[in-house]
Amino acid sequence: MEAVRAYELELELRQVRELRKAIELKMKELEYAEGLITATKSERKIYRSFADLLVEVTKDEAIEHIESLRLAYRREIERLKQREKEIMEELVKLRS
Amino acid sequence: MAEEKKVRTLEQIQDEIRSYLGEIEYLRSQIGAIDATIADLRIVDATLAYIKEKGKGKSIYIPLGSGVAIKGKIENPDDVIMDVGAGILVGATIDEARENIEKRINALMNLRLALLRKIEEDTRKVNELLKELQEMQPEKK
Repeated sequence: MEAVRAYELELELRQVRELRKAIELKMKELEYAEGLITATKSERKIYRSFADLLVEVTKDEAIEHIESLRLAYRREIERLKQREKEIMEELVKLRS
Repeated sequence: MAEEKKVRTLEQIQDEIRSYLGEIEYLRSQIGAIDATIADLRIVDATLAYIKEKGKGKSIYIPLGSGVAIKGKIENPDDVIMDVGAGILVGATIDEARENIEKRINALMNLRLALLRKIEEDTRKVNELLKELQEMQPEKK
C-alpha cells in the first residue's frame, strides 16, 4: 500500500515540476514581451489578443496586462513549490 | 571514481545505457520540433520578402480558419503586426518583422547546436558503457 502511495506521489511530483517549468518559461516570455514593448516607439500600435480578436491597446495597458500575468504566474509558481515541498516531506516519511 | 566503476553491476550499466538512449531519443525529437519551427519561420520570411516587393494592391485570400478564406487586398504592404508573446502583438514594418524572424531563427539554430552537442556527448558515453559491458561479459561466462 505504501509503495503504491509512494508511486502516486512521485508521479504527482513529476507533474508538478513539469508544470512549474512550463510556467517559468512563460515568465521568460513575459520578460521578452515587456522588453520589446518598453523599447517600442510611442507611435507604434500595440494590440492585445482576446481569443484571436485583436484590440488596440496603449503601451501602459499592455504593460499592465503583462504585470497582472506576471503576478498570477508568480502566485502559481509559489503554490506549486509549496506542493512540491509537501510531497517531498510525505515521501521522506514513507521511506523512513 | 575508478573504484566506483568496478563495483557497478551489469544491470546498472545496462540501466545507464537505456537512460542515455532515452535521452538521445528525446533530444532528437526536440531537434525535429526545432527544425519544423525554423522551416515555418523561413516560409514566413520568404512571404514577407515577396509581399514587400510585389504585394502592393495585390488581391489575396485571408484565411478565416477551417480552410475558409475571404478575399482582400493589400493596401499597405509595410504594415504588419507581430506576436511578441503574452497575448500582445506589435505593429511593425516588414523589415522589422523580418529582422525579428531572423533573430528567432538564429536563437533556434544555437539551441539546435547545443542539443546536437549533447547528443554527441551522450553517444560517446553510451559507447564507453558498451565497451565496459563487453569487457565485463567474458567474466560472466
